[in-house]
Amino acid sequence: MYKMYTIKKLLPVMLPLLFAGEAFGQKDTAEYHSYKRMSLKELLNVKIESASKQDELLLDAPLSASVVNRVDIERAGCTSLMEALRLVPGMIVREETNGNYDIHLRGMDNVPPNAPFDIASNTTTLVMIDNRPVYSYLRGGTFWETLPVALNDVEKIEVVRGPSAALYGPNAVNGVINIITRRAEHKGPYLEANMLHGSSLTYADNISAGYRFNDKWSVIASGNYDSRDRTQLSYFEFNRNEYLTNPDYFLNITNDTVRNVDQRYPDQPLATKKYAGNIFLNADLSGNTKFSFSAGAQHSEVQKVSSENEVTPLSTATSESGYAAVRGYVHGLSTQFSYNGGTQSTDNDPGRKYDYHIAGANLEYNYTRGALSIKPGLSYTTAVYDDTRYSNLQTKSGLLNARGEIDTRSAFLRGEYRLLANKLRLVAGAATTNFNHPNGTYLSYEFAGTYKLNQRHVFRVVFSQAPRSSNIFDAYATKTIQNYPTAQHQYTRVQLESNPDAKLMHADMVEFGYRAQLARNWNVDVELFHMDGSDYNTPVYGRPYQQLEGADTINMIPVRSTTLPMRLHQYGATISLAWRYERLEVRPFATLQHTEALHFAPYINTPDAGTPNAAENNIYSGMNNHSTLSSTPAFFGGATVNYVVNDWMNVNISSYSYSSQVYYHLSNILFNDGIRGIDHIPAKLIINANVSFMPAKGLRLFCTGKNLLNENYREFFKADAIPFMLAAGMKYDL
Amino acid sequence: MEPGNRPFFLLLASILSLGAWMPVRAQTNPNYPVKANIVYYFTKYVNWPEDKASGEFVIGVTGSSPMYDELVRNIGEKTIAGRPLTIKKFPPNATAFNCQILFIGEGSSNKLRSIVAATAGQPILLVAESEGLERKGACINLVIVDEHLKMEINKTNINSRNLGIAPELLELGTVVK
Repeated sequence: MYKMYTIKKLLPVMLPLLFAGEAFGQKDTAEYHSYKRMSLKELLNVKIESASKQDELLLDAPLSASVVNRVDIERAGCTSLMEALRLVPGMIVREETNGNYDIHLRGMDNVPPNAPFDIASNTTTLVMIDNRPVYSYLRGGTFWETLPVALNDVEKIEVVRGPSAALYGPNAVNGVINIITRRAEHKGPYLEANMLHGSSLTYADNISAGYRFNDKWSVIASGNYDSRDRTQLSYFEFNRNEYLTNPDYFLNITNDTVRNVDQRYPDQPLATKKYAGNIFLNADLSGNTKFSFSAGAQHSEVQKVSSENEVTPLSTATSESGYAAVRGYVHGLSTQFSYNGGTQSTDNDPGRKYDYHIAGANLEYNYTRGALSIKPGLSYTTAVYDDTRYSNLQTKSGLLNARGEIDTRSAFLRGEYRLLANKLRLVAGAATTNFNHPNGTYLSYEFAGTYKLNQRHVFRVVFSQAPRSSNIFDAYATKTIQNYPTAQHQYTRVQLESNPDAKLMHADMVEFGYRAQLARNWNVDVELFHMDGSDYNTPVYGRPYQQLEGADTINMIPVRSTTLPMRLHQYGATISLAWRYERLEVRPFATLQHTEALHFAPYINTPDAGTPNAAENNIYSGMNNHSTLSSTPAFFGGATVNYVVNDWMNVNISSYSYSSQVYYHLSNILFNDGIRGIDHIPAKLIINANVSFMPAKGLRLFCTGKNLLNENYREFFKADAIPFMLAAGMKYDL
Repeated sequence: MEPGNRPFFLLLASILSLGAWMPVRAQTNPNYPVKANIVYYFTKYVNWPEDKASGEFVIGVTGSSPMYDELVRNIGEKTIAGRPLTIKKFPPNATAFNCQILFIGEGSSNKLRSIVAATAGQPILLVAESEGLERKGACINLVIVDEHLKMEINKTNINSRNLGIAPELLELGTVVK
């Protein structure tokens, strides 16, 4: 039924757009008019996009950044936006189930070790769509399957590596991923349709239709549908440490029997089922006045690793949400207002559902005088999560059992100054951000400088610091974990309690970079970075206390989000090369890194907790200890080789690989047998090939083989094996 | 799980059939409008011998390069010294190219050798857009350097085709031998 619903929603939007065209004016775009008026010298001075859009990245860009554009993505045969991130240097992209990924920038993942999945997933990368953050404040991070856009909407994906909160806003701790959507470029109708069908019943279909009315107004409406089956039917159970197929029951990590298997996993073969629709309206009213509006809605149901259900890594997560965003630019003044809200469930087990509403406003002014550019600004975000409609507040059966609100207010100043005949470029940004939890003001900054030795060699340095905001779970959740009688009118209750004053995790970075155009067709980019991460929070057992409830005495064992003394030091280097010769293009990239954990102890209790030996074995027991964070691979990277055979044919080989790693799950310290809760993930080399053929103008047929070596080992802790996949499809582009 | 996305296919099919008759234009690389206008200036700064200086002026494009659409769109209505301008498509493996300027798109750059052979000695300005082709027979190569288009001009190749080139054009490009 949901598919019909999608079509019914899309048809009224798209068809009128297709027929609307001829009623509007015949004026050419401003772009074309201006080229026609230019002298030859002026035409040669037009800044243009290179055939390989990686070069769009300015040689003297101050930050570590990469761009992957739609041509790169199409040529590589990527089936999803998340998979396309494997084309970007510095990304760790592991597939959990078909179409669902664990995505990290540079690493520092599975932190702290032995934490629940929610904590250990990536909460330190700010993902945006057209500069609109899509950050989830539930426990921090990004629910990738809930992004309403698909590859047909994407013009390019920009990735900035390193703490960048001063330039992009809170939660850009490890970096930023900004998805830039397409526009109808030429006057008249616009249409793009993609169909991809592959093994494991993989269907990724989408369509965009739009119209550019004149040089000012354009609109696109798009819809996407994605459905994929899992590559296996079994589920890994933490307790018995084995994969189980069609189990009648599970044993959870506290040895309780879980019988609602069908309720938790109503569609066991399902990996991904989602659909969404968007509309994008753009108006470039003049060079100094621009306006855009976007809105959309999505539905998703996936089985992925993201929420701790204490039974298996996979949870069935669902989401129904909508968004709207308005952006304006008038004579240097930029404004953005956005809203995103809906209903989500992190797991089909009862008590995991909530409503959420996130609203944001951003105002900034760009002032330029000569070589100096200054941009002051203000931003405000409020995120409200509420599960009181879905939970029993008396027994605290829900996920939060509360209505929580995270408010963020920022004032920032960004500046850029060029001197020494533009050879030296200095960029500085500072932001003060006030959070309601913990109530206080945090500073983030970024200082970057580039020195352009000549047209071919650029050196750069960056110093930056960025905080992660608090999350609803840490600040508001109150939940009964266990409650059992110990005597008449005596109970012991393990209870998750909120800690709104937990410190905010933050990171500092020093980075040196070198970019060079060694020859006209040779580019190299080297980044050397050192990151410090501190103030990580995780649920920790605290000091027991007694509470009276009527005639009953409750021995409370509190579990609260607590700041660990652990700090992380990461040293690394990312090297990217690009080489082109006629119709051949080769782009290898690799990151080498080492992360050391200081003051880490594998315990989740305070010294005064009621757990055995708490005084000796607690979160402070590892002071001055050094250990290697083995969950981040020491090496990760990839390469693309593209060959334009002729006007009708293109061949692309891409690879992605990482070295071995070890993941430590919460169940490791609960079972403490050195076996359960630990997964040694072996090194993997994924090689993909995509051949595309254009039999007629605008029509492209393609065939993709993914993981050609059939290295079918799982890529994430006890998740699904990811074997070879064959896919084929077509793209129609008017 | 049932794939069951037949409605999607129906929608797609109906949209595609609509597309068949709609007056549309391909979404092209935004660089080609700039290239098309640059090529127009070649008509002003290059001299063709007398026997090619009458009748219609033809700019040819090999293969299915988006340059064809952009030439039509940007300069298709212009005249060249009073002569009507025609933009023509040629298959890259053609044996004859009856034109004054021939643009060899990236997709047919592997045919440059045979195109050079087929047009040897003829007053046809070969314009290419792929790295290194000015040394393989092209007269002018439009390549990207530091995010700008650059003209690489092979004077030897131009002279061998009995074409004249104005100093203004040489000044704005890089002359290779």
